[in-house]
Amino acid sequence: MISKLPLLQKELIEYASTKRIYILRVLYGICLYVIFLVNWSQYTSYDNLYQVLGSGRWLLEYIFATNTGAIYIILPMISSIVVTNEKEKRTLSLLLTTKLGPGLILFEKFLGLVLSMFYFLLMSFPIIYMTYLLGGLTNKKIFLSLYIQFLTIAQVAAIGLFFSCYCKTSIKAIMSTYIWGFILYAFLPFFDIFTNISNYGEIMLFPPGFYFYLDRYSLNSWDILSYTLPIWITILLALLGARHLLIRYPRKINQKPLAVRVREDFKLDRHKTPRIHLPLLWREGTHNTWGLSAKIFFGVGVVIAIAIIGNLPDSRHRRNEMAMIIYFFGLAIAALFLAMKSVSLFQREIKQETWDVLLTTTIKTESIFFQKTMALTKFTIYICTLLVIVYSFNIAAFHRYNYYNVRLSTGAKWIYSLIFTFLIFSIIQWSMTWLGLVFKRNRRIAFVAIGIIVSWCLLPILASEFSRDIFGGSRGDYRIFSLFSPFAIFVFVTEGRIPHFRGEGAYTALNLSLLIYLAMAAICFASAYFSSKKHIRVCD
Amino acid sequence: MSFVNISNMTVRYDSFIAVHTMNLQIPAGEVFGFIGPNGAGKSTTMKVLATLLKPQIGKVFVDNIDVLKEPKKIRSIIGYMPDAFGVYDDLTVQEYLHFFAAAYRINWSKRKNLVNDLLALTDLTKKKYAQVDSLSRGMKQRLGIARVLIHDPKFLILDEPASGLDPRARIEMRELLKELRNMGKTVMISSHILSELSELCTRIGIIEAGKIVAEGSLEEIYTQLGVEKVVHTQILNYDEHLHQKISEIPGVTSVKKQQNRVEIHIKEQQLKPEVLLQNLIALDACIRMFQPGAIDLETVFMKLTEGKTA
Repeated sequence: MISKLPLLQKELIEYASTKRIYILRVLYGICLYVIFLVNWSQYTSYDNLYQVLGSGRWLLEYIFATNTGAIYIILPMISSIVVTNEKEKRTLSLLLTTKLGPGLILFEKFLGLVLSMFYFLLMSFPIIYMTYLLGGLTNKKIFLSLYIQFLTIAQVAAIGLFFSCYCKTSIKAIMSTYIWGFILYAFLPFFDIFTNISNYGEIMLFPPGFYFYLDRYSLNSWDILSYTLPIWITILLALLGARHLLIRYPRKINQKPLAVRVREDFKLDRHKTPRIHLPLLWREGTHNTWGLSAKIFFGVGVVIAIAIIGNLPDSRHRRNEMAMIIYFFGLAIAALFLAMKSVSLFQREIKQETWDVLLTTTIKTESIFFQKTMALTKFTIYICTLLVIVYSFNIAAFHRYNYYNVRLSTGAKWIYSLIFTFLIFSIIQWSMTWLGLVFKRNRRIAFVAIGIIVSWCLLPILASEFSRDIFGGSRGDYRIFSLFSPFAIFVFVTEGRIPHFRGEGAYTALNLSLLIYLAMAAICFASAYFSSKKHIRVCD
Repeated sequence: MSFVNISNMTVRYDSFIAVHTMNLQIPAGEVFGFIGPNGAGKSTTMKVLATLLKPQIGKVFVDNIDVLKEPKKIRSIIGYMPDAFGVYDDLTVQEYLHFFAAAYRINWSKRKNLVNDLLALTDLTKKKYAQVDSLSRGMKQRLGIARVLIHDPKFLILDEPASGLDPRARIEMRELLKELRNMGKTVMISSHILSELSELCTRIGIIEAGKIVAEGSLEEIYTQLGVEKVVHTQILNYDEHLHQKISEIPGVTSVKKQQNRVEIHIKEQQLKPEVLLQNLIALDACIRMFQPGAIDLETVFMKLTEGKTA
């Protein structure tokens, strides 16, 4: 049967032979088994057998959370580039002229994505069996977990495919998938999903929520299917949208870019003789349409965020947490944008085939590096300023009570937020610039960039959480590890407190991490600067 | 010393040898045509001259400057145009040229006139305010040439400047290159369109599998190879006796009777066509037509290369 689906065959062969996917699979496997084994040792450490029995239910929840996390992190990276890859290699037009047609092309690509992600999750099947042996699980719970994981895969794959058909380049498609993915889920109250599922409307489009929601009721298969119908509809809509875009692709490919059309329609011809002093900075600053749209996107985003913060519901607990979600959503998108922009800073010239021409001019290597990064630094300062504005509204709108002096003062919180925002985003900018310089010819470096940012945010937290389980002692002994995670730092600064660090201790911990981040920023800058001497020009 | 002097140059990409102990000299003011099959090492050689690649072995000099030791000096005297033109699509034509004028640190007061002159030279004045991505391939190619000339380099390195152009654009490009030749620039052009190179180039180099297999002026190469020239004639009193006499002229390799003409194959280094004509008259041949055929570069190319890549 598979021989009748040539594109699926090709996709599966490619997935099997791609080193990147192999590495991701190994990393996922390591994470899954470490998380499982740590929790397994915890739940089975009791002397009383009755305390051990039934713990399978909780272990399955850990497996489920790890798997859905893996789907949300890995699948957008793969799904959002399947069609843009064909566009970049200029093979999409060829595919569309074959007898396959847009519908079948999309179906085969979609199936390829679902199957490739299924191969990832296969690794969790042996441990699901082990959890089953510990009891506390019904068959329904296991099948529900598998069904929900399948739904999550299908939804993320469909959304990724839609943006892959919509965007011109892989980087734009990855960004759009993550951002719209965030937007789709961001306004659902996440924090209630794992603790107090009460409202169907809150989880209607978020598949993992159903795992906890549907488990409470005795429902048959048809009921479960009907409850998850909205998710099927989003999948179908995304696929239909993607098909529509594919049908329009041959017409769209010959269309002039929007910027050109706007210029022509409004007769915005650039007749003035440009007075250029620093050519690269001039071009990056005034003609980089992506940079301009990013600035508009963030500017509008901040206005919306402030408006939402000002109109949040009255319940104080929910207001604080929703404001925090909005702030962290902004942080995540800004970090993603900056990482992509930095990592592709030099790659864009190579893609445009202007790199060689630029290198044969008499501009000094140092000047190429500084002009390019100067434009990027301006962008970093712009987004950091916007983030600090959102943060300022956040703390001004929601004062957190400072019982027993456990929280930082408002002024300290603001100053720490300001410094950490600029420091952490500088680290992202310089480290990703360095990465983009060293691997400027690697078209898939964007994935590595996302991987590094996610690992930097998560690994220190995981280390602080699991060190107690592995090495013993109290949770507070290892809390210091979490200070290496920028995500944790922003949580601490927003909350105004660090668990297990009180009063002066919190200030000392934050000052210490400030020094560490300062050193990291200096190292990243130095790495980028010195590697520019080696990697920009071969002969210098 | 030659303007360009490459001696014993070897360029490797890991274990793959792209150029193997190459020796090449280009005198100043020459238009040097670089010919070779795909993957022969033409672009690699050009990239070394443009300071974009470093050879593992060998020495490369341009205008007596060591390319490997003083690349900064080299950049000010060369103009390199890759096969992909290297144009920024989001700029207008004048912005593009001003961008590179700024990159070469050309004085602001001179820039405007310089850009206008270059646009006139490349016949792009009407497109001054047009977006680069709205230009045709031929126009982009001409814009690339304008960009290459912006800092008035002594040496132009043009990688496949005529590839993918329609016949009109190709003729325009050829005329433009002739203009550059008249301006006294030393030019190195790689191309697959051999007929054009033979018209334009004063010297050629044929490269295959990373090695130069022939180098010199076209005449020198023909002589080296002993390529036969065909002279098409119509001889009214042609018979067996005359056939015998013509065949015995030193330098004539064969005589073939075609339907309405006689083909005389000669070795040009031994017998020039004008000498052959004198010999025929001396043999009392009644000649109605005497037309020496051109030896084409394609024949030379096919004779010298086997289609091997490096």
